[in-house]
Parts: sequence; C-alpha cells; structure tokens
Amino acid sequence: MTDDERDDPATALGDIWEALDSLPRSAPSPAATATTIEMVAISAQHRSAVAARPAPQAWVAAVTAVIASFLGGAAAGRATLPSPAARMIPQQWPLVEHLELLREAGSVEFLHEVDRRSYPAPRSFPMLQQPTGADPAFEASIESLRGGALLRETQEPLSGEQRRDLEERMKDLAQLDGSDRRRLGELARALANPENEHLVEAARLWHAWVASRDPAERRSIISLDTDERLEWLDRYSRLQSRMPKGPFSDWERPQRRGPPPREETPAPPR
Amino acid sequence: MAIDPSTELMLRVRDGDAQAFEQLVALWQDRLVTLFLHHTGDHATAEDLAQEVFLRVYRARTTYKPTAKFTTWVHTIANHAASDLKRRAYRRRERGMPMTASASSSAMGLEQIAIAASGVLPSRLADRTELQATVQQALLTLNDRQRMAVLLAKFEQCSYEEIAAAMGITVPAVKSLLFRARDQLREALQPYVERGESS
Repeated sequence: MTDDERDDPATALGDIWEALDSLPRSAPSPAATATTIEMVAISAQHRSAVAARPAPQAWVAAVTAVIASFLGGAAAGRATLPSPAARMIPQQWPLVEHLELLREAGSVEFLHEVDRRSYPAPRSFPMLQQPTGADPAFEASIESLRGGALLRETQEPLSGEQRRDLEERMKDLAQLDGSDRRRLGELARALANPENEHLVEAARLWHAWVASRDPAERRSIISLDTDERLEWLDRYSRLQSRMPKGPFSDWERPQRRGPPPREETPAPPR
Repeated sequence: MAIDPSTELMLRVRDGDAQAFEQLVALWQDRLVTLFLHHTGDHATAEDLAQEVFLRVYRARTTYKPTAKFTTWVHTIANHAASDLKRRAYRRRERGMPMTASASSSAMGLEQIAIAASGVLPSRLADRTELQATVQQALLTLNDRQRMAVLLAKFEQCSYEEIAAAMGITVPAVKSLLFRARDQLREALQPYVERGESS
C-alpha cells in the first residue's frame, strides 16, 4: 500500500512525523510513581474518612499496604511504619507547615493585583473586638518561610498533637489537585524571597481584611477565587471609603453575615 | 475476546486490587508525563497533571466499564485534565497576569521559531538539544486541540477514531486538526524539514 492510499495520522502529518521523533520521552521514575501512589492513597484515606464508607476504607488499607511494601524495603523490620501522610510531609515542605497562610494568600497573581490596586487597610472596629496591628501568627509564618523553611522537626521535637496536626494538613494538601499545589508552591517561594517585600505587604493587607470579618465569614472569603476576592476587596474598600470617620454608630457596623452588600454605582472596569 | 493489559488491570482496580493500581501507575506514568510535557512545555506541570489523571482514575474506578479500552478512557481523562489547566491559565491571562512557561512559549511567533530553525546556523541545528527545543517551541505554537491531537497520534499511536473518542470530536474534525497542525509545523520547521529531505 502506498502512502497515498493510507489514511492514518502518520500520513496526515507527513514529513512532520519524523521531526517529532526528536522530542524526548519521559524516563521511568520509580520515585515519581511512588509519589503518585502515595498522593492518591492520602487523598483516598481523607475522602474515606469523611465519607466513612466501608468499601473505600478497605481499599485504602490495601493501597497503604502496597505502598508500604513498595517503599518500605529498608524499613521492613520495623514493627510499625509511619502513615503515608507522615512520609509525604518532608516532600511537601514548606507547603504543609504554612498551608493556612498560603491558602489565605491565594496566589502570586492575586497578591500582585492587590499590590497594584493599592487598597486601603481595613478600618478596625474596636467595639467588635477586631484585631488591630500586626498578627503575630502571620508574622511568624512569614518569618519562618524566609528563614529557609527548615523542617520544624529538625529544630525542635514535635508533640503528638503537633504531629497529628501536620498529618491532617498533609491530608488537606493531598486533596488539592496538582496545579493548586504547584500554585501554593510558587507562592511559598515568592513570599520567601526577600526581593518580594511588596507581595508580603499585599498578603499582610489581605490578611488584615480577612481578619476584620467574623470567623464564619473568613472561611468563605478564603475559598473565593482570585476574581471573586478582588471583587470582594473592591466592594468593601469602596464601601469603607464612604463611611464617615469619627465615632461609630450602628449604621456603620459592617454586615456580619451573607453576601457582600450591593452597591448602586457600577464597579469601575478593571 | 482478549482484552488489553491496561484494561485488565483497570478491571482489577475496579474490583479493589491495590496492586493492580500500582502496576497501572507504573505502566502509564511515563507515557502521561511525556504527553503532558510536550503539551505544556513544563516538566513539573506535566508530573502534576499525570498525578491528577491517576487521582481521577482512582475516584472513577467504580464506574469504569470495559466497553471502551482503558487507553481511550485514560486519554479522555488526560484531555480533560489538560483543558482544566488551560482554563485556569486563561483566567490568569485575562487579568493580565504573568503567563506560565507553556503559555509564554505559545506566544512565541512563528517567525522567531523559523529564525531559530533557519539554516543560518546549521552547526547549531545539529545539536540535538537545540533541535528538540525548536520542535518543542513549534509544537507550542499550535492551539491546544491541535497539539493534543498531534501528541496522541505521535506518542500514543492513536488512530483517528481513538483521538476522536478521547477528545470528544468527530473523525473529520480530527483530520482537520492534524492537517492544520501539519501546515503550521511545516512552516515553523521548514529549514529543518528541507534539510532532512535533502540528507
């Protein structure tokens, strides 16, 4: 059969087919395979714990056993093996340690935009017992990221509770898809870079805005995507700019629950 | 009827065989990373996407039916994962944010790639690494659908029908994608293709 008679993708691509041969193929990587299996197992464990269904739990137990045999050659003699989540913590450092800070900050893109738009700081309402000034937990987290983000365990021993807390965060991290983990990794590197002080400032400002809301609302604000966060900031910073300064009165009290208040004037184009 | 090894493994995964899942990952990891590497132009993103595919395979295991080959099923999941990534990248670009490695490479004009591939520097072209980079960049100038169709054909040896099933389009649409991709790649890689023909 001649090429003209054949009708397949190779014929369709013609001379380009050979040129594509120059592209490399990914080499087998047992480490990558092990990481994938572990991430799936952690994710499955988390989901099955949430759903409390017997079948997935049995499956996860089996996966965990396979992982143990896959990775645990050297540890075969041990009476117990660390959980998959515990073993993954060093690989996912410093994301695990700073997961809350990174989730709140969102992404490098979001912080760039917050910096570019020069939002004002939120006004504090002492009567509502809102925090004012720097948040020590936030500053400590940033300091730790910038300090080389060593595994906390190498600096001080962890209590059982701290270890469980880290493992829970590792499970939360495993629930994110790869691109989200990558986004948080980029963010961690950006915040750790001393040249990116403007991003830290933006994260600090956003943290202050989030902290100015009540705890229930904070969770829903953090779950917003970049566009929605910016829309939220646009709306509330404009609302704040219209509030008269001076003694507080009831009408100044920000809405405590539900969606952000509607405005009569349309939002300016971004 | 004989079933292919991947389908057989997937049926075992569906029935709760964890070892089969491990074998399936070992069998497919490199193939998926290669596919995504040339689709995105970035190795870390490719590994993330491959991991995402296995996570989706695991989550959907109980609904798997061997009416379609596992290969087609996993290619469909891979295509969706790549599309989801692109949607997120598009939203970033829409806001004027910095682009990913893949997106910025895609933005490179054909003209620039043609210069890079030109016979002005034949000795450099002989360098395989540079050749790889040139072909990779040319590939990234294709739109996502063209690129996925080309990669499924080249790296996964998919037929028109298999590409169509994985991408949820018709066979004529696949042919059209491949023909347009060929013309665009030929334009970008003209000097190389001519050199290959003459040698």
